[in-house]
Amino acid sequence: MNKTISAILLLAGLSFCADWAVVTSPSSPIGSISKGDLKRVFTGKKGNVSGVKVVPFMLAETNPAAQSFLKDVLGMSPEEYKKFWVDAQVKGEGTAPTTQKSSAVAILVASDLPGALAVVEKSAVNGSVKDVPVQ
Amino acid sequence: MKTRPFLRSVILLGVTVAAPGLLAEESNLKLYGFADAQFKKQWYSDNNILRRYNVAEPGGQTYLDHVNLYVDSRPNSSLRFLAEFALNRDPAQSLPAGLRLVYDSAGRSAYIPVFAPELREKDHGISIARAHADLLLADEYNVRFGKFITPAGIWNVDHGSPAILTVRQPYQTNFIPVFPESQTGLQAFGKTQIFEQDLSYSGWLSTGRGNTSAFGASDYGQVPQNWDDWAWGSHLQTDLALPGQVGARIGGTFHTGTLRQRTEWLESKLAAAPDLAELTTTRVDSSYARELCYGLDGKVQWSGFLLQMEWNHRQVRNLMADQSESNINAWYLIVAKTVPVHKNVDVTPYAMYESISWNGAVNNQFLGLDQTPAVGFHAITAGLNFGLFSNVHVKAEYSHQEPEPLNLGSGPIANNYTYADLAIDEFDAQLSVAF
Repeated sequence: MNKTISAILLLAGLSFCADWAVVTSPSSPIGSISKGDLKRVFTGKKGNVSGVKVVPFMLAETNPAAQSFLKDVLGMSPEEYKKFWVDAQVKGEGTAPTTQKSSAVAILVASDLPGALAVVEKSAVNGSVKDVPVQ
Repeated sequence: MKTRPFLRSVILLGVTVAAPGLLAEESNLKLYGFADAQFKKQWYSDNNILRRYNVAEPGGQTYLDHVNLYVDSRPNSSLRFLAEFALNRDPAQSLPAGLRLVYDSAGRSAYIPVFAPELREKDHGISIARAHADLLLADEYNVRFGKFITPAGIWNVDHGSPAILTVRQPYQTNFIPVFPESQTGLQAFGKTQIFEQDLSYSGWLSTGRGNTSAFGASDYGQVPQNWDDWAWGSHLQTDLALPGQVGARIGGTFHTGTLRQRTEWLESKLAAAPDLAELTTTRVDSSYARELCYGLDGKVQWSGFLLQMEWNHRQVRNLMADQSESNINAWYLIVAKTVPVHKNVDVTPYAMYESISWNGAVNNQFLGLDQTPAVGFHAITAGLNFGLFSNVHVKAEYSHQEPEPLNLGSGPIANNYTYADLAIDEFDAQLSVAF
C-alpha cells in the first residue's frame, strides 16, 4: 500500500520535475504557489497572490517547456490554451498573458517585477530571480 | 561588468516596445474582436405568426452578421476600460428624444415628447454593446461602472459567435430576452475559493431595461423616474473541479426592476392672438410594471463532452392593474462532443432543445405577447461546429421550430392553427473569425 502511495507521489512529483519553472523577483513576497492558484493566474481567474498583484508571463507555444507547463498545470494543449483565451476575450474576461520569446528575456523582466510570475525553462533559472515552488 | 546594465536596459527597452504593457504599471491598449457571416434558409407556411417578428424570413439569405471590435485598456494594474463596438445586422437603433405629432380618434392633434428614445431597426448599424470602467481592487471585490453585459446565465455573456457553439443563440437570450441583455449602472464583482473550488459573484444597480416589449433586446436603459425605478440583481456562480478531470459549473441569477413608459401631452388651445395661446401639460404613465427575473444555469464538461442547460423565468406584475401577472418560462438543454481531427482541426456535433412558454399575456399588453396567437414555442436544433486553428469556426445546423398555438374558438380573431401550420424549418451556416 505504502509502495503504491509512494509510486503515485513519485509520479506526481515527476510531473513537476519537468523542464519548466515559475520565477519571480527576489524581492517578491510570493514564497510558493499551489497548482490550483497557478492555474487560476494563467487563466485570468486570479490576480492577487500573497497580497501582491501578479503579472503572468508565458513562453512561446513552440517552446517545449511552455507545452509541458500547459499540460501539467492547465491540462491544456497549446491549441486549447489559445482557444480558451479567444473565448475569454469575446466574453470580456480579459486577454492572454504576455508571451516572451525566450526564458532569458522572461527572467530579465521577472527579476525587476515583484508581481511577475514567469514561466521559464528550468535550465535557464539563475540567481537573478526566485524560483517559486509549485505545491 | 559595465556593459551589463546597458545590455539590460536595451533588452528591457526592446521588450517594452515589442510588447506594450509588459510591465504592470505600463499603459496597455489592446484591440481585438470577432466577425461572422451567415447563410440562412427557412421553410414555413404563409400564416406563420413568427413572420411579423422577423424570426421568419423569406428565402435564403447570406449576410454579414457581426463585426465587433473590443478596445481594452489597462492604464495601470488597478484600472481597466473595456468598450465593445458592434456593427450588427439588426442593431437596436435609437432616435434622439424629441416631439412627435399624434392624432386622437377625434382628429385632434398633440405633440408627445418622447423622453426615452424609440427603437428602430435598419440593416446594419453600430451600437455599443458595452463600455465600462473597472476598478480592480482585489480578487474578492471590484467595481464596474458604465454599460455592461448582464452577467446572467451562460449564453448572455458568451454573446460572440467564437464562444457560442451553435449558429443561433437560444431565443431566450436574444429574441425573447428573459434578462436584460445589457444595463447601465454600477456593478460589484469578485471571486474567491472555498475548499479549492471557485466561487464568483456580481451584484448590480442599474437604470434597468429600456424596452418594455418582450420581443427584442434594447440598446438603452430606461430613464428612472424615482428610486423605485432603479433595477438591481445579482449572479452567483461556482466552478467545480471534480475528480476525473470533470469540470462543472452551477449558477443562479436574480434581477428586478420596473418597466415604465411615460408620456407627456402638451395641448395648445389657440386663442385670438398667438401669444395668448394656452398650454396645458399632462404627464401619464402609459405602462408601469415590475419585473422579477430568475435563472439557473449549469454546465458539465468531461473528455470533450458538454452538457449545458439554462432555466430562466420572467414574471411581470402590472402596477397599474392590481399587480396582475404575466409569466415567461424558458429553458434549453444542449449536449455536444468535441472530437479532435487534426492538430488544428476539431469537430463538435451538437443537439439542442429549447422551450419558451408564457401565460397571462393580456395582463401586461405592452409586452406584446397577447398579439400572438400562441402561448410559446419550442425548437430542436442539431448541427456541426468545425474549429479551425484557435480562431475560426465553420458551423452548419438544422432546426425545427414549433410555436404552440393559442386556439381561439369564435369571433373575428378565431383561428385553429396547428403546430404544423406554424412550424419553421431552418438551415443555418456560419463562418466565424476571432481576430
